[in-house]
Amino acid sequence: MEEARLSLEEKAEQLQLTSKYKSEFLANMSHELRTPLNSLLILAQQLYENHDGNLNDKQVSYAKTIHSCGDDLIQLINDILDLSKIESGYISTDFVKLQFRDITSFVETTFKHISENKNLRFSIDLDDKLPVSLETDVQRLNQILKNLLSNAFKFTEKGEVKLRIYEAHRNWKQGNPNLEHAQRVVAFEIKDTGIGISKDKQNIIFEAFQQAEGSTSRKYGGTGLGLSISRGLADLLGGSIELESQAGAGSSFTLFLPIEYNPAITKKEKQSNLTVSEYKLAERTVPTIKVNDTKDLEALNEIINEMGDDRNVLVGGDKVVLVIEDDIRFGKIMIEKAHEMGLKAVVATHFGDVFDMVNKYNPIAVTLDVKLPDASGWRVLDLFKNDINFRHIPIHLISGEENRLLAMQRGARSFQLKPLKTGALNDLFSDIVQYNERKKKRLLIVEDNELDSSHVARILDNGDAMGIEIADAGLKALELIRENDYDCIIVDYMLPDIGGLELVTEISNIKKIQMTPVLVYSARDFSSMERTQLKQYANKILLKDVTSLDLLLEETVMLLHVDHKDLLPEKRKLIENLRSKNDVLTGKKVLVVDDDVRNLFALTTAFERYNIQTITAESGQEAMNVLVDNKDIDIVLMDIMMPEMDGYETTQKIRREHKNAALPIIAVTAKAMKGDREKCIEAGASDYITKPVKIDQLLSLMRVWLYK
Amino acid sequence: MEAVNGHDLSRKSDIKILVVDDREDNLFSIEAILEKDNYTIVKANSGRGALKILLQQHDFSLILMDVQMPELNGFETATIIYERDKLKDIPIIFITAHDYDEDFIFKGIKWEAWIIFPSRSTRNCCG
Repeated sequence: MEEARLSLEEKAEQLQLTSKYKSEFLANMSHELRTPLNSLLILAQQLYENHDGNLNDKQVSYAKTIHSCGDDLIQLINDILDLSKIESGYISTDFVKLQFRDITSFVETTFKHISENKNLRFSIDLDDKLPVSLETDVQRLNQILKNLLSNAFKFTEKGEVKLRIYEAHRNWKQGNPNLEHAQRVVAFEIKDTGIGISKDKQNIIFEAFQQAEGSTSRKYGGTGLGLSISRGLADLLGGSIELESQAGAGSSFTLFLPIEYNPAITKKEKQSNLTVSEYKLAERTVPTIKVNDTKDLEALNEIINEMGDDRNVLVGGDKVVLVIEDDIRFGKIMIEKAHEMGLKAVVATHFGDVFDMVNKYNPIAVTLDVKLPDASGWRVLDLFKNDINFRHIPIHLISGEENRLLAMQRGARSFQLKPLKTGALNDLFSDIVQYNERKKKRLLIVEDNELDSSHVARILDNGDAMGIEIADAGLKALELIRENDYDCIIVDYMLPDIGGLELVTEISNIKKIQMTPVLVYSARDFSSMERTQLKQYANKILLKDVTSLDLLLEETVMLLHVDHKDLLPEKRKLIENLRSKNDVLTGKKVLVVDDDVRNLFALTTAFERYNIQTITAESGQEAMNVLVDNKDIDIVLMDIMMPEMDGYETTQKIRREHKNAALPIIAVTAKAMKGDREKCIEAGASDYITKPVKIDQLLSLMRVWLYK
Repeated sequence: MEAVNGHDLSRKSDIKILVVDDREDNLFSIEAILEKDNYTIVKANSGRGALKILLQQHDFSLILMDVQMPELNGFETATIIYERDKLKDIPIIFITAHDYDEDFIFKGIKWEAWIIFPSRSTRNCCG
């Protein structure tokens, strides 16, 4: 017994699965059938409409026949599809309040001219005891009524078709729990005086592909699916369809539906698991060029860890210092020192690794050896400070030559002269730790004019990211500076109690704040002599007026190393506006060479946001042609991997033209191909960037080359 | 003949439509419908092809886009197109013969675009 039950259950399960596959197959196939039919229909219609008037009547009727046959096929496909959707449950309902008046007017407009054409009386009778409306799915209800009425008209030669809508009082014969439990039930009775259906056929006509007579189809047409679909839909709406008929004496189909929608008893729709795929709307703001092979190369990169740094042992919450250094021995010293201070360290030995590693390890600080084998450290510093996403990372420069002033002016956090003494190294790392721990940056404004200082304080206000203090006299400021640690000091040059130069000199004499940046914000028109003197002590000199407040914000944020993301939204906006206004990229003309149109499109999209004119070329040869036709191209972005003429060859050919000698060409190379960098430069590229390209970095790199 | 063509060309309307479909016959039939009204029709037979055209031309009044295409499908292509500020105001009408209509209509609403099912509305779209 039990065995038989199990086996039956298994069979039932299999059957269900087969049915699901069948429905899926039908859905897919109907799509495949429709696609060619679509063209066939449109073109047949074009033909029979005979716009050029060059088809004769016979040819027009051929075209019409093609069209109507196609139409029949489409109808059949739609029916099959509807049926399979009903059977498999992949159909949804949308219950709304629907006025009976709307139903009758829909039916009337749909069938009025059919009844006139066939010379049949057609009446609609709406019982006034019914409420004004019912709750149902209007589309499905209309579909059922259309099916039943079409049948009535189809099988009736003379006489009449009647639609009567009335409130039913348990006059349905088949048991139906939905109807039994419904408060009120409406009946739609469709009665005709047509050929009728004999008793023995009355059961099978609701089965798919069955018509009362095998030959009926030939005479009356139709797919034989209409009633099955209607019954399925009625079921879906919580109702049923019943039939009364006698051969030769007409038929009467009645649709019973609950008047109020009851979600508990209405058949639950199945969740469609045939969803094609989820298309995410674009949320990213800047497109990034995709490469397919990143993963493999990343894995490779992780294995090649010649310095033996911490890249493979990092866990969440680790504080990482990025050491940019090609000398392996010194790199190891830095790693050890970092460990002593409870930090982790990763080492980049090549320029090409720097920004990949910044992205990946999100370092709290960077130490940068100015002399790298393949790039100038100054350029790397510029790239960091140009990039709105990275400029908050403190950069500690290490150099064999004294260049402290330049380093400060370009936004470095500190400058260390090689060879480093142990004390200096300790200072460096303890500054890294302390600076990172101090989340709220302290800012001192030295300004005697109350209105000015309130302006400055208001523009710099950034909630928790900055603590702002104001000193209204020079001596008071010096006192505060001796007692407290500030992260940035903004000084007015003209104070009542102390000369400006004297003040900044005195500030820099207070030794413990050696690394504290000083910004001079003054209305004074400095002579070049004064400027030179000031520059020894001040990181930046800004001219004070109302229009320079946003510039002050920008410079202060940079000197304080506040992450752009941590600023108040309105302050972020100010900085972004300022950057786009003063952007050297604005109006520049760039030629992008790439064989993949998606990359071209993504770059064009990004560049246009920065008002960069973009010209694209899909091959090396096309790039050459563009350069001949456009004399005013400012910079070229060259993909290296291209079929036929690759990036190296194209770059070489461009450089051969005398007029292109100074044209900046940035090569886009695959990641981790160490030899490629040298090859790019050898071929004549000014610079290179590795895939996947981050748009911000690319823009920074372009700025560096266009500033000149 | 040349005179006739010249005349036809001069009557071409300013309304420029980009039609994207991977099936040559569909492109042909859509063109057949639209050319009566003298629209300027530009055809692309893939998502990539559409992007290529849109790199150079931005003055389309409308894009008719097939949904099922190999490689880049219609929705993916539209995503890429709408990222670009210059193009984001061009209405896109998706064309699909597929019948997961609710699903697609839902996506269409997300896109604020329309979707037509050519096989069911042939007459409508032929006016």
